Amino acid sequence: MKAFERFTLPIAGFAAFLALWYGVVAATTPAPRRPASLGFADPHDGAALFVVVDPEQHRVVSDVLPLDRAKRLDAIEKLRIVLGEHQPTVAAVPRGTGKSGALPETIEAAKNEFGGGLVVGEIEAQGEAAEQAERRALAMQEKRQLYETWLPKPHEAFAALFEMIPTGEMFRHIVASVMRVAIGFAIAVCLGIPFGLAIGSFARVNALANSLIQVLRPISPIAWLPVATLLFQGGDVAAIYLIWLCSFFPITISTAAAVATVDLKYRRSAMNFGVHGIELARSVLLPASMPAILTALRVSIGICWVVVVAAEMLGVEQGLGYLVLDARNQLRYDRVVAAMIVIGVIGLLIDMTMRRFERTELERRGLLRT
Amino acid sequence: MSHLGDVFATAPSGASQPAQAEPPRRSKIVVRDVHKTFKTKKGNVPVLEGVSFEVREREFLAIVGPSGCGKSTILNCIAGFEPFESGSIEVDGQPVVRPSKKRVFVFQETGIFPWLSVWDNIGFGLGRAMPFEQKNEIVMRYIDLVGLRGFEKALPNELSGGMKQRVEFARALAVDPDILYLDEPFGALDALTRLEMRREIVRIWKTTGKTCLLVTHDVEEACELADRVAVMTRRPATIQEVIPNPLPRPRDPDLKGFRDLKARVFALLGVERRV
Repeated sequence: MKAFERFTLPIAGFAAFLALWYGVVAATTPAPRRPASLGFADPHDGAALFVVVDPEQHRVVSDVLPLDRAKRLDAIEKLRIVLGEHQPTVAAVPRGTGKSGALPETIEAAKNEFGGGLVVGEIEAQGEAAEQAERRALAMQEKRQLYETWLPKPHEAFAALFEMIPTGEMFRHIVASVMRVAIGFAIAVCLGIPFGLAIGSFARVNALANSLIQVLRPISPIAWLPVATLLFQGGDVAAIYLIWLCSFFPITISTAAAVATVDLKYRRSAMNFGVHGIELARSVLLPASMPAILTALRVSIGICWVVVVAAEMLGVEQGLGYLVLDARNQLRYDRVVAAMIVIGVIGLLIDMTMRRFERTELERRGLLRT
Repeated sequence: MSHLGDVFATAPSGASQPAQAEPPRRSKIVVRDVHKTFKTKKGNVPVLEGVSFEVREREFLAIVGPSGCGKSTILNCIAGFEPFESGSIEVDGQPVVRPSKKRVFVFQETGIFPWLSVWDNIGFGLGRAMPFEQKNEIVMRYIDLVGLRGFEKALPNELSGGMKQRVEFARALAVDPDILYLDEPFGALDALTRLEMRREIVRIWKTTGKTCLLVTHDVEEACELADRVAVMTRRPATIQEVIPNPLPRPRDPDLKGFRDLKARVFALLGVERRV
């Protein structure tokens, strides 16, 4: 591999991914749905003209609504028929018709009956009232093209990301997630390594704990989610518990396995010098197992970072997992994807940091294979 | 070796008597009729079938035998690392039940800890409780003995194979044992380093007056180093014969006496030497 390819090939990889992303989104995005539009004008006293334009921008129907208070029910009924067929989202109320008080009231009543989605505006009646109403309805429809919620294209996701950075919102979520992982992982390290050493060193501890761990280990942290939420009443503790859970078993098992395979000559050397028990574990088994333990730490902090997103989907109000869920609930898929990008980048940074730590630690301990 | 004089000057007190000046007499290690069987899935494989021999105080005894004959096994049994089924192994009249600091094992491939510096490795057997001053004095004495001054802080992976083996010897000697068990200690070294290390081990043995029990498949090595050479049979192993080696040191492998001794060992092993 040539030197420049070291840089150009990864960039090409990313470019290919972005192109694929764009292609998939562009190909699957549903066509925009333009609902029927409704326009009103005020041709003469005591009546209002309304025009409905369908998505193909043809006039569907126009009629004159009596603005007489007494005939309001008729007017609503007429609107109901029209709205029922075409579900307009735009209505323009002619200025000045408010004087009689009947038309806005009529539209309001119709809106309530047909639910949300009816936007009411006012237009001025000038010249030929019907034409004016129609033109207004068309103009409104142009602006109000409604898209179905769909996946963002790359630039939209990055736009959402850069929108959340200066406000400090993204930072807040990142800090929350990183803190949870740091605390849960630290507890797992502090408990898992000694426990693994004990299992690897003492046959009785192994007999006691090994089968239990083998049963508990395959239970996904996600499966623990309901239990954790109830037990710890949700919140930070539940999330930290899940982080701890997903890293404790891999660390313990890897440490125990590494201890079990420590070179016999190291054990015998130590035995020969009268070193045994806890001192053997501390001064020989732990350092001899260090390469495997460091790898286990790197792998399990990766798992933690995966699990924290799931753990934050219940009972917390900060963190990248919360951000994903919250953005989804708001149908802000651009933010969902922005959060995914951040999760990936931070995961990469964590892995790089751990690799560097692993390397320097092995080097310092003279265990680096060259 | 230019630092030989220094080494003798700094050698541990009471240990500078060359072993050859005064022929060893008292039995240090007594092995009687030891049997051992390896249990495998395909059945029991007898490894040792009535191994008996003695090592005298301050003696250098070498056990030679074909590969896989059980020489390392008998050494592990003597060191207390492995159990055996019947027979007895006694050191200083006491049966061996577990390893002891008084009898240190030097491993085939270096058993020094890669995560500890040369200084820490040599001081390992002295325990953590020993005050630094005292420990430093002992460690530095043995660093000098094996000629590694200046490498105290080096980690094993910064050292050559021969230097690592010197660290291993120094670590074993630092606890001032009576006996060194050497399990093909030069097996992993290149031919030139091996020659150098043989001279070194003879020098250390003469300087410190330890009893040495060497296991090797290298007949020349056994003949160069040992006062007596015990020849083992193929598995299941017994001792065929223990050949005394009265050749004066330093020994020259090209002299007739040496060649005759080697020929005798090869004959016992049943190996045709001419290729």
